[in-house]
Amino acid sequence: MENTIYIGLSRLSALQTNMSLIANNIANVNTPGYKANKIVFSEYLDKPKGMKDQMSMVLDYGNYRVADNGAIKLTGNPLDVALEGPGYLQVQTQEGQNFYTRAGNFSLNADRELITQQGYKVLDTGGSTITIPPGSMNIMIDETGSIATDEGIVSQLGVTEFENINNLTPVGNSLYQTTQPGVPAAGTRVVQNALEGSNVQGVLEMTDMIEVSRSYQSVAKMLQAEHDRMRATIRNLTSGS
Amino acid sequence: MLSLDIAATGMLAQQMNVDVISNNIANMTTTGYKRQRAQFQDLIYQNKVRPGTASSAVGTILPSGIQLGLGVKPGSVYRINEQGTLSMTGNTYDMAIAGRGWFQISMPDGGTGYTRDGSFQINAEGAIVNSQGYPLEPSITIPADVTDVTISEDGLVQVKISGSNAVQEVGQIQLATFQNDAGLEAIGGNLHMETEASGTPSTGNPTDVGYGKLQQGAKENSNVNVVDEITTLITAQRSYEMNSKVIQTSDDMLGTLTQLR
Repeated sequence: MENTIYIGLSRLSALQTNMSLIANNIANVNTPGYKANKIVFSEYLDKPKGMKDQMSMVLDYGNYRVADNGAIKLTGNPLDVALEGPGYLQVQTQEGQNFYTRAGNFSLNADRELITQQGYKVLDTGGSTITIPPGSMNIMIDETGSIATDEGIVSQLGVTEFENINNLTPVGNSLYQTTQPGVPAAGTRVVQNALEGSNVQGVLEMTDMIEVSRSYQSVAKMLQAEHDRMRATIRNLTSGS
Repeated sequence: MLSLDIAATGMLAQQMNVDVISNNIANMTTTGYKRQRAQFQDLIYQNKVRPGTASSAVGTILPSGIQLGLGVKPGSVYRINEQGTLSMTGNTYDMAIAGRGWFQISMPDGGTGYTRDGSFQINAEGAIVNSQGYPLEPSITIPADVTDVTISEDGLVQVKISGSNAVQEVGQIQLATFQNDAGLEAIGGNLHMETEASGTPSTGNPTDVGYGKLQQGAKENSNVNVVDEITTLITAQRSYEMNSKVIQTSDDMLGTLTQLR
């Protein structure tokens, strides 16, 4: 007879997961290249012993990343790169591990290699690091990702596209990891002097949050009513004898 | 509740964002100041259900899992070394660098500081010093009885002694360049120090290949763009507000729970 409470509980815990996702989206509203996460709920059917009908509970089944491009913001920094389209840039850690990212706020290290803000090296199409020749100026990156200075073409940014971006696992620091092989980008444009903002839409997140908060309250109300009903039943039964 | 902590990381990050913006705006008219920018990154993820795990015995896998991000963190604050505009001051010892390079300053502790602030003066001994009184390196002394001081584009300092028509060379200003200007450490007073990340400096005369040229009687304004700063400030403030709303909502949800009995 606690079934009502269990169903309510499944909803409360799913809503808490949803709230965490919304909080994370809002916290990252200014993170370059961040993609909003949305939750998927699914129905979980259970048929307890001695019951004719099935009970339907809710399960936080998974989440997916919204693939929309974030707004592109001009920064005036020649080493900032935004991607227009579904591609990802490839970076490599000091240990030789490869990650993908859309946050193109790069800089140069003392060896004039193109690096991310953590010091991870940005890779070219062939998978090797990109070095800007010493003394060269006016770094230009064109739409196809080709990098040139006043001394000629230097390298080509490696842009990779994936069939299913939700197979990329986020590992923090705006980096993603995957075993899925990517293909060289066909529909991605590189924009220099710009950064892709986060694609989180504040209004949507706020309305989602209100919805979560209200559903939470209504489930709590239902639990309260169920609790009162059970207490009243027990009281009635015991006071009768 | 997770969302409380996540929203707290968001508020802290935006607070830092506003700190950086306010420093930029405060240095709007600081000679040779380079604007800074705060960059954020998402924090690590908690995998409740890992994507790619088996969902049935026949080999189907979950296309997406439940990965809860744990918030945001400041990734870096870095300097944007864009050229600032030059403004004419008419002051003999003011110099602006158009292009790459840094003036070298001998610090009192024997080290070398680097600056783009070219508002120099001369001290009692006639040496060219910056506004803190630290001498320019290589040191240049201006004789006492000069009528005219000319600093050419390539850094040559020439003077005309009173009573004579001949022009006399008294020194050559040199600039330092770094592999990675953004790696320099700012120490205040418009000065920067060399670090591992900046690489070692190489020195050369202005107008050499890879070096900027000097402009006498001018100084380089800060490269802060006020419109840009204000719009960033607005976004920072709005996201701060949204994060605080998340905290409020999480609190309401917890409040709902405590009312259950």
